[in-house]
Amino acid sequence: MNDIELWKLVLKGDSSALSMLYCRYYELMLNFGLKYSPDVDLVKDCIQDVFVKICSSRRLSDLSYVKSYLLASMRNVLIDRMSALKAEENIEEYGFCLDVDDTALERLFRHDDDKLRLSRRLLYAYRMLPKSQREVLYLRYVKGLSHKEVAAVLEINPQSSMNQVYRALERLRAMLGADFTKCIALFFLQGGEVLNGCL
Amino acid sequence: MEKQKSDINEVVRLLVGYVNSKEVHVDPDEVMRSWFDVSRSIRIYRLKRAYRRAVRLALLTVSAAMIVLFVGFPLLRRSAVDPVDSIKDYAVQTLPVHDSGNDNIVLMISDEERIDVEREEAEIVYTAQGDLTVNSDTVSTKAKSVDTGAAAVYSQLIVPKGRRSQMLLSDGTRLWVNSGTRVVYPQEFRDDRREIIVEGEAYLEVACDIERPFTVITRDFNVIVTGTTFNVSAYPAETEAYVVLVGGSVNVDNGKGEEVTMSPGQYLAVDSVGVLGTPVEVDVAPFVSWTHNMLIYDNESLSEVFKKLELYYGRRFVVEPGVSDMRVSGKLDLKRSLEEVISVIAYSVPIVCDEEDGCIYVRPE
Repeated sequence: MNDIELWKLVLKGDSSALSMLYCRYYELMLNFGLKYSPDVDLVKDCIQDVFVKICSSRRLSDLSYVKSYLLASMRNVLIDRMSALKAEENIEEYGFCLDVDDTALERLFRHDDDKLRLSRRLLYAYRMLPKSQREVLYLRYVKGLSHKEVAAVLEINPQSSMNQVYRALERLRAMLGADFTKCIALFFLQGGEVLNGCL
Repeated sequence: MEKQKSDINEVVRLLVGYVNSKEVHVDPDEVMRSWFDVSRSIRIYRLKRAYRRAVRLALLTVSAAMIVLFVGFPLLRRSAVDPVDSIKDYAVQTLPVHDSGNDNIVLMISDEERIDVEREEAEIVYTAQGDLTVNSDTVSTKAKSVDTGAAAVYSQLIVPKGRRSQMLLSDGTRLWVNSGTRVVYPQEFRDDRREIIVEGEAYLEVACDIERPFTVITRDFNVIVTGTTFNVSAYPAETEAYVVLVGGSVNVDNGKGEEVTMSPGQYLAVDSVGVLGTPVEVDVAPFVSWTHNMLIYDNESLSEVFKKLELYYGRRFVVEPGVSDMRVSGKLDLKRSLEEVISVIAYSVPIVCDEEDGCIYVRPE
């Protein structure tokens, strides 16, 4: 059963449909949440919060992107909870961390020093990107979401998602040096995507 | 060049693959097990909701009048309205507690028992038997031992800026408590009346009980009803308090011989010395939208809008003279981040926001 059908059942109050969505997206939501906070228990708690809120909400409507909705809710709930715990006023300060430790890198690229160096530079450059660009790149390239789906998660419009990707790539290019300009562009364009047309 | 190109492709491909493989994997059994917790929470929520509906149906015999009351100022002296009432003495004595230093919602069940709620919203429920739950966690079960000779015990709910709460009292009265508000109430209502104190803003649906009129006490005036719904806004720092009546009828009494009866859809201002104004017809929606986490404003000054945002988000705003008088109308979804809310406002007025030392300065563009 696809997401949209399941969601229609959820709207009618069907808890087993909701539990199917829960099982289907639990891992995705967990890993997404862990990018914002290393506290596994907190993230797991937030996943549960999202689903309880779905049941208690009186204002649910039809959705085109259930996966995005769940991720967006996850993000909102998690950030709310984190800001409550920290009692800090800067809600926007929570970073998005994609960590690859160096020993893993050494293992991945053990036969090729050039590539190892390149990977370090790429990761370093990625970490230098602003949070919104890191989020977009993760959702788009690691999780394979379309621009419409990414936009629904981050609560921006699809054009913004495309712009963010474009800007992120520009920055990566700038940071890695002109030599790699064409290379990165080529890799990311590999999927047939055209930067201003594909959703 | 070719080598570099294929190098980068290779690196990115491996990295993406690695990141994906490194992500946490959860055993399907474990996922299913954690679902049981969720479905249990859902069941509890549904039971509570059904209980609330049942209570309301039982107690509300007619559609209740909705009163919106704003209580402005902390009680710094005994009110002239009802000088012998110990609830006001208690509120005055415990005023220093109000600035408890942290940003949590605090429920003081009594002077000794205190509960801190770290979430942004708290839901406090008293059952008819007196059991108390805070955000679905049972806090205490009250033995029903009413000794009419014993001194009344008062509780207070302190909601700081950036937080909100909902409360269901044992008589079935429901309150929405806005940011920066303190509510003082007896653990048990008396037999002949029900009284609470609100300093700040609250929206109440008072359960209908003809035998026990419900009074909301504020520094300068009281609102007395038998069963109605109303919003009270009287913040200590504000110079104006007001009452907005949504439905039904209420009496507002300032204890100085002035009494005003309000009709539905009316707004009544009370100035800083307690003088009652004349009721004016208004659209009530902007005044109660906060209970739905929305801010509706109709031709309001920018400084007023930011004042409300300050309370809601718990951030400090400084609105510069060049823009404070700009008028705006619109609707904001306060569930969104502050950044998004500000950008919505910036669509309609030429402003720019900068943050300095934790304050947000609003300047002309």
